[in-house]
Amino acid sequence: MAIQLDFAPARIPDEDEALRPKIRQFIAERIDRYPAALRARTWMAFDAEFSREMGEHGWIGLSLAARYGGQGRGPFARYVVVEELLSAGAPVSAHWIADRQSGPLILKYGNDALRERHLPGICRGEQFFCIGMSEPNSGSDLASVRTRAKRTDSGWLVNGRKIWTTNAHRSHFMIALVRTSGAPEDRHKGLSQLIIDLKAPGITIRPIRDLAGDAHFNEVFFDDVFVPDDSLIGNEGDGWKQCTSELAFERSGPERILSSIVLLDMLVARLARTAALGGDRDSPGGDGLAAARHDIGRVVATMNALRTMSVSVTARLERGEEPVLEAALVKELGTTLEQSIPDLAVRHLSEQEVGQATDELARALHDTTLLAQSFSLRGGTREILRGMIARGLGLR
Amino acid sequence: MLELIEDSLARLLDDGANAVDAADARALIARLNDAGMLDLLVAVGDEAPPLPWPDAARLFMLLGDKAPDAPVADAILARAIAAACAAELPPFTVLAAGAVRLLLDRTGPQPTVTGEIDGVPWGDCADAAVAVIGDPSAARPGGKGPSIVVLARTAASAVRDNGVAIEPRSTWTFEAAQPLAVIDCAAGIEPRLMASAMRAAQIAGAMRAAREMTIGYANDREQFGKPIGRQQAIQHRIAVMAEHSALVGAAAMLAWAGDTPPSSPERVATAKGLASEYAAEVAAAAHAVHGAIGFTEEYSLNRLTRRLWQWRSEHGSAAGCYAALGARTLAEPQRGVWNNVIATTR
Repeated sequence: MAIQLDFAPARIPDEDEALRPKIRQFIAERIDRYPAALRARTWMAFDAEFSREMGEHGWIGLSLAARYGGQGRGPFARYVVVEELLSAGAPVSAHWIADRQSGPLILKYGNDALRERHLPGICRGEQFFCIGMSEPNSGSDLASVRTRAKRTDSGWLVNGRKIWTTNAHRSHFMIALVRTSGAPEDRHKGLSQLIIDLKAPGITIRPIRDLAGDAHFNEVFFDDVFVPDDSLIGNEGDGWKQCTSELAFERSGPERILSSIVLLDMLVARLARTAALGGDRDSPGGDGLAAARHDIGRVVATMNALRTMSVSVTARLERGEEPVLEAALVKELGTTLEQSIPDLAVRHLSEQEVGQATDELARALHDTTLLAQSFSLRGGTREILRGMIARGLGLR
Repeated sequence: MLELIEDSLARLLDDGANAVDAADARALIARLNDAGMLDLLVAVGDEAPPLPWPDAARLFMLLGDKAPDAPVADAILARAIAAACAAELPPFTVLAAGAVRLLLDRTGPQPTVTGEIDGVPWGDCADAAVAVIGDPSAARPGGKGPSIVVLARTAASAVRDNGVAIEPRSTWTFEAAQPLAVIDCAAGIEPRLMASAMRAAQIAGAMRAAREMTIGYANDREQFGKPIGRQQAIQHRIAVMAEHSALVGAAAMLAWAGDTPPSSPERVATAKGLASEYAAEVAAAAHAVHGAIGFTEEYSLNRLTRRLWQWRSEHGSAAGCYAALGARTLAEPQRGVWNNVIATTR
């Protein structure tokens, strides 16, 4: 049977579009506090105060039920809020994981106690979460995790370690994928997800500096860490199912298109200034503004098509469908575009512009150049996704 | 509605799939005309066309996918553009796909044209061609649309072009010839945008068909004791092919989205720019996976890929579309790129 790959354009409902001017004003009142180098980090920039203010306005956990502090909205409400935040380079990192993944996961699979304990705090922007999936020997091969939770009378004893855990050092909780029965050879059987309080005794969090000089991710060690019984999400053994669906549906959002948008806007402003002055660019290739117009037009065309695809996938998620293949295509195309932006800037900026330490554009360029390597690693690497896409297309 | 039309159109096209000469092409066009298929996008007055505008994307994608040996899409669009007088057009009227170098002389009792039109699809057997005249960037005085002329083949001297193309094209030359009609396009009819959006959708359809052929071949063809589709290198090549064809398909649907024919230069430039750029890459991937068999005339892959190479240079090139989009973006940088993207895609 032919795979259609149908991305029919969809419209964001009016009641969700109505959020746009409000969130836009909220951002405009605050964004000047943040230097370009921080804004260029988009969803990796952390400001707990900003997240708390977001929570006060009810913009975190929009899809969660009202009795837990949310608004019971469909996925497009969050879509509008998120694309406004990311395109401005607002610091969303503190609440990002809880808003995107942990909250919906707890609502869907968690017991009442877990919902009461966590969802209101997530919505207020007071409970921050991190994801404990990867381990030193389990990256793309996630089913091979070895961190183990052993049953005790009143809960679980966790031993092992997680790595590349973004924000572990400043989050309150981790949702960890752990082995609760069987052995690593059992693969996806016997895995469960636990909510672990990161203040619990026995946890050591060690930051890892990345090549951009940031220390947002960590190695987390668990040494006989006690986790109470009711911290198990859903049923024992359902962890794999939970986290694969979680991964599949975080692939098609605006965050897979917008990671370099701050740099792109600064580049466009610089090119436009030259155009407005009636001059030409001193670009290294010597082909000046004409080439820049072409290349910027290509990026805009790609973004127009990608947003159409991303909104289309969101509409299908809202209808309860599972467009896993389509979501993977959006992530692949989106991260490829994001990663091309630093090269585009280098192509059209003069050596002086690239080298001027006092120039915010140069600093955003350097930071984005370094960060861009991670865009196609996080959330499933490019190479893993291509294999998934091929299988989805019917290649055996 | 769309599915019914798709089914019966697909059957009609399959019946005429082996049109090898002009008579076959004429016969296929005549059959489609009798079935009402050429009037699917004719909107008279305030009425909607038989096929809603957003579905035109799927219609043209199907035509790109089936790749009939007759200018079906070009004939449907010619009528959509000349909607007001579509009923009076000769059945085999096509939209010219190349440059238009015509002088329209309205000083005499009857208007006459002198000059050339390029890229007339099946120009050695079509009865008439529609050509858009006037400066594309000129403002529309009094809200009037651009003008079109309908020109009979019998009034032209025709020279056939056998470039890299699979679909025949001709240049028609006129010397003080009387057009069949000179029409001011109805409000909302933007012939150039509609033509670009049509080709983009055809390219998307041909990409889809090439992708399906390639996946089928990769699953069937065995080397080293297993289907070549099990090789990771082949899988990744096809995955990238799927990404590009999906991107182009989405853009083509965006160009046709809404209750009116394509009217957004940004959406249309997005669709035709991406379609034209990725036409070559998708064709190259299909040929790479197929190997030597795909290079033969007999194997039908070239029916799709030769059209991809032909269509990418008709009704808007990638470079032209991107330059226009880039100029618009640089003209208002203060809006922010994503804001422009939202405005174009909402």
